[in-house]
Amino acid sequence: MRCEFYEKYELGEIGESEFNAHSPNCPECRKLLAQDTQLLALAKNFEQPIASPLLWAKIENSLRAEQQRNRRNWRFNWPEQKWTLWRIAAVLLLGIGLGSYLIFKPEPGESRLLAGAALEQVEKRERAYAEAITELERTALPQMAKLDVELMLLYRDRLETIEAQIARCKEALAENPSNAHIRRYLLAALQDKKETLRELLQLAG
Amino acid sequence: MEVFLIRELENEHEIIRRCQQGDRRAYEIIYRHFAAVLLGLGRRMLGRQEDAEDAVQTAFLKLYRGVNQFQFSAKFSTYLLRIMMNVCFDLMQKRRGKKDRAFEEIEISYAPHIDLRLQLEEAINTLPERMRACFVLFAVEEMKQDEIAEILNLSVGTVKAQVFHAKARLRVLLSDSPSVGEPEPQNIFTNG
Repeated sequence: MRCEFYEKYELGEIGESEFNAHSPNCPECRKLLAQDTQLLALAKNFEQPIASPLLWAKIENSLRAEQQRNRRNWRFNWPEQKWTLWRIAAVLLLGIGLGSYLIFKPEPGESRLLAGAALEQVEKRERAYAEAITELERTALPQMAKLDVELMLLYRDRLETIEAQIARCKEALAENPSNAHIRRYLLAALQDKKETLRELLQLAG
Repeated sequence: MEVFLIRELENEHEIIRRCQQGDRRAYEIIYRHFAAVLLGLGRRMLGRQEDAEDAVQTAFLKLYRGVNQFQFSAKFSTYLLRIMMNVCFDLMQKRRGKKDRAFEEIEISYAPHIDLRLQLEEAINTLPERMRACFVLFAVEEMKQDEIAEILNLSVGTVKAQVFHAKARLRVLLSDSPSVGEPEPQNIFTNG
């Protein structure tokens, strides 16, 4: 009957100590062990094949060819490259946007918003107008009674209209004090009121 | 059995990163380090030096194509040997289809040799593919059975069984071919 100890030992079903205890008394297992030991010794000493001196050159050439093929196929390889393309597109869009802004951006003088210094200057002029108007009103308004009724009503209506304009401008400027257009309207209205009062004074005088 | 492990590459991660960037010098470092092992494997698996060299070349191309997917937690030698073994299996499969004439010649030329080592080399060529792979990695390349299992995607138990059956077959094959001439190394496989 065939001994199965060696097979069990080789397949890890029994341990080394168990096999060592068995093998001295089993010629079959001793023979198999000796044969396998020689087999492994022979295999371990196989001659290492020597690579042809051109093998690396051949491999390098094939790697180079593969790299070149990859570069050529790059644009066709959409799934792999799509993120790169998205990034390029984003950078391009950003560049176009920034370029357009720099090219078409309004000059400082054209700005619809007044810068700090300009605003201060405009407010100064408005205050000067307001002071002049207050002064004129103090003198001119009592003189209105000297005008005939029709002229008086005409000037009163005109002054009310101008004042309504001034009030609307001030209301808008309370929300947006730097708006150059409204400031311009306000200055024009103030000047109009000043001229009207001066006219009134001349007529009454 | 004392197990000799394949020497690992120095600065392995840096070299692999360079490979991932397409640096051919880094591939050359890998080639210089592993060429002997890869060529030996190819030779034992495929039988012919030219086929082994073709297999090494294909393995490097596959490495180039797949190196970006390499997980740095894995062992590079295992990764590379797995590529090489798969290339060998592919070539053997193609050869089975074509029934390569030159290979037939090798099989036909199997005859008693003076050198027991040569006899064993030829006997290894007659083993089934997986068995041959397990035996070559275990006995020739002296790898651990768990590493072989990882390379060949088999369980350790299967590797043990394959190595055992390979040895059994080789014992029979060597004992069937009587050793002639030089007595060294002595053929203890012959009956009697």
